Amino acid sequence: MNTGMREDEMERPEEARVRELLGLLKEDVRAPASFRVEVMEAVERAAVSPWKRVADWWLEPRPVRIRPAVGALALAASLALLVLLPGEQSVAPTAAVDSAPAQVVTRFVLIAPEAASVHLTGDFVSWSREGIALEDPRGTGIWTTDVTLPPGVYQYTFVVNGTQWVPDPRAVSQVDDGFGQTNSVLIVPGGEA
Amino acid sequence: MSNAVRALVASLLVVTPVAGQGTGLSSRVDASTLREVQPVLEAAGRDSLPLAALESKVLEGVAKNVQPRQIGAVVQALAEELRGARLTLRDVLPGRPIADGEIVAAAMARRQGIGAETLRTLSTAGPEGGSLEIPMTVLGELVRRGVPTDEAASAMSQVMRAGVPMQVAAQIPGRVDGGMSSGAPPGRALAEALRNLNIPNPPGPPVTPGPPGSGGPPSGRGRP
Repeated sequence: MNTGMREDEMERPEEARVRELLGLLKEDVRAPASFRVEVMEAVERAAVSPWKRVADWWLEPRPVRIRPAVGALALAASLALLVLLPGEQSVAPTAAVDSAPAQVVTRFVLIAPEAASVHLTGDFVSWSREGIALEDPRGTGIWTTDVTLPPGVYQYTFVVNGTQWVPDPRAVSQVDDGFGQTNSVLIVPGGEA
Repeated sequence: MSNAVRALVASLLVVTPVAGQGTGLSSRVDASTLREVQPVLEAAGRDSLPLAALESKVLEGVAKNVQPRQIGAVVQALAEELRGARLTLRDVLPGRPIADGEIVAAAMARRQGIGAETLRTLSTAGPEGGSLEIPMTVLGELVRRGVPTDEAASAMSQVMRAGVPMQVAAQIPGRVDGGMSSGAPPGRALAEALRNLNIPNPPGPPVTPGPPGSGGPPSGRGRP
């Protein structure tokens, strides 16, 4: 009888983990505040005429990526033109650069019942040792965190107890890091084909 | 010196960053590691390679307490991979700007033995100028799982031709894993993954059916 009670007690943490995992699977991942606006804008864009879309492309703010060297040369050329053309008054157009491109919320989960701490690090945090702390608020060994990332392909790993580098068993892929360890791969897709 | 020339020189001095500065690398990397990687990074900068990927590898090595010489060797090897990938993409996508992420994805695809012709096929399937980063990554992941390269490339080309959202395409490798864990061979698992994700199967000869009792109907690639 005593043995039966002990078995029951041993099963409880597992059941709690399963319940919590089910809860996590059902739980909605929080989208950033801009998500609804971006979705509605995408729907509206799909409904407008091609000419309107072309016009919008020129008029809407959008992130611009340039090589620093090209940017420097362009700026230098612009300044030189301003100096070379005295008396000409020009109003420089101001481009509103959208500093917040599409972002995707990704949930990271590691089941580590024995861990005292779990951190997430990878190329999206410049491999900072501190990284991003995962939380296990219920003490069930399920460590989670939500991270907002722009679309792209990332490599990452978990750091357990500050010293143990642990790849994500749920990752789409594991790759050799070149240093004798393993990194996990995360694909954050954008919306377009 | 005329005012115009002064303005030109001054603006170049102000704006042009010195290689390695402004990236935070020197503040996080010890002197001996910096000595190992600096020549590699400078050469990479001259060749327009994705510096962020190389610097990230340096920081990763430092974070993992790797010896400076080994970090230098790994970063050098990665730079060579990126250089090869960039040359391939320049050949595949002449005259088109190539994003850093595409170079990295092409390097990872080349690790799986995916060649220029396959990447060229992929590039012509999608919208002109569309990013190939995710498609190349998914293609590489499929080949890594054992899907024959031509089947994987055909599937990804179909994904792009059909305008399948990348959120859906990114699920394909995981679905293939699920099929393979149920005993399906990689090609068959891919066909099932495409069907389950409502992605039109690519044209081509039917995939050889699995052995009797291997689960599921024969997976012809052409949809009925």
